[in-house]
Amino acid sequence: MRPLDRLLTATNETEFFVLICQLVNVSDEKPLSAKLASIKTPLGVGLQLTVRQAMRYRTNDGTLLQWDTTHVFTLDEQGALSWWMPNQPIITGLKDIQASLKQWWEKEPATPVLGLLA
Amino acid sequence: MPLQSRVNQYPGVNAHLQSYYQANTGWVGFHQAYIMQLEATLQEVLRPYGYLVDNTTSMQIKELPTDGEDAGRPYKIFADVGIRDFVPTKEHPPIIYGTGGVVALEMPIWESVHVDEEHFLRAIAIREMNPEDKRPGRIVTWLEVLSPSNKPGGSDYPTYLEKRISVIGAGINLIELDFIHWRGPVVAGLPHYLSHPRTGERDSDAMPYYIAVTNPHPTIYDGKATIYTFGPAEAIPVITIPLARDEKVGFDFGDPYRKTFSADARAYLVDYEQLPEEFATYNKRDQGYIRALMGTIAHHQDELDQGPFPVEDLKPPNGNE
Repeated sequence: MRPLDRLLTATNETEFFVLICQLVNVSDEKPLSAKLASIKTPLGVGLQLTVRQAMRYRTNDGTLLQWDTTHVFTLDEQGALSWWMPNQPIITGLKDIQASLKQWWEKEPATPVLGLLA
Repeated sequence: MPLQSRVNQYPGVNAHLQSYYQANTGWVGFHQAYIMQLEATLQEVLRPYGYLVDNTTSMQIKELPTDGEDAGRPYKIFADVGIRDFVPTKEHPPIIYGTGGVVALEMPIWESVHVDEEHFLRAIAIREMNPEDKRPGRIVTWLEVLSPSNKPGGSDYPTYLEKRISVIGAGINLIELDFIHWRGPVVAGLPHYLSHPRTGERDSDAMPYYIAVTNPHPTIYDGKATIYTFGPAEAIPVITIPLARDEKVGFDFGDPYRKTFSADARAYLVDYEQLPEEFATYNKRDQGYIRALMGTIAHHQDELDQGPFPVEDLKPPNGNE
């Protein structure tokens, strides 16, 4: 089963979160890094997975190499799951996240994080 | 009871710690630890882009010239630099002990091998990774954390100047971090932070610390040097490091500094209840900031793990007035 299918068939938020943590745990030679941290949330505490990607940008005087935060997954102690991406509204709830994930994978399958799902 | 914290309470360079090293010993240990943190952090940032980072003996740069009659022939830019005989000094006296006919002479290792302590200092080389075998390739950027001996008045100053020119002349980008405020800058044209030895006057624009980025591309004549100066009130800046071709990366030199400060015992060398040693070597502006920061730290002394805290009651900086 593809990692994508495992994520899409996860039956609860905790299962999804554990799977995505395992998926982005890659070698340091990949242009991707992930950090898991405990955080304070408005309703208590939670776990936050921050995914950063090694990007390249053309500028007027060269090529800028820069690590950007591209995904943040948060699971709070009540079991609520959210997914943040830059310049996108935060997606909450397992069903909406799975639906968006499927759409993004179909649209941009080659991006580093989504490429891991194949 | 000293006021201490494992967390650096300065936004950047810790003037208390620097002054401790100015008045005592220990700078070499800090230097080595900072280099190791820089190496690890740079490696993490650069490896996916095809660069490798290694630390190397600061005074023994080896590089292959790419043109001229020495092309392809390895050479040492500075062979045997600084090697000297061990001469007991007040600072490093030999310890002699023993019984009967056996006498042991105890001395620091660096002196037992006829090399000065500071010549064990290491620098960082950023290399391109060879795409074929993924082994370290040519050096594209060289990074030095300056030690007191590299600076004006230091025993290695002339040699260091020569090395700077050799590195830049070889087409290697050079990054120099200078946190040694009690000696003048190695970069020509920078205002001197210390007071003039005869008149006692200071340049009010001078800052105690700087990071110099020298990019000798396309040629040493057309390249440029960018100097970022800052003081104890400022964070160590994020600097754009030039790499191979037209590539560059922004790098926060403050992050490895904070980690270096917090590791091991060095954070406990600092007592925020006491003025830094050699306090008079700071100008009035920085003295004012340090005093205000000490007041802020005392105010937050029960929550220093959450520091550093902004200094709010600082009077406007007034240079040397």
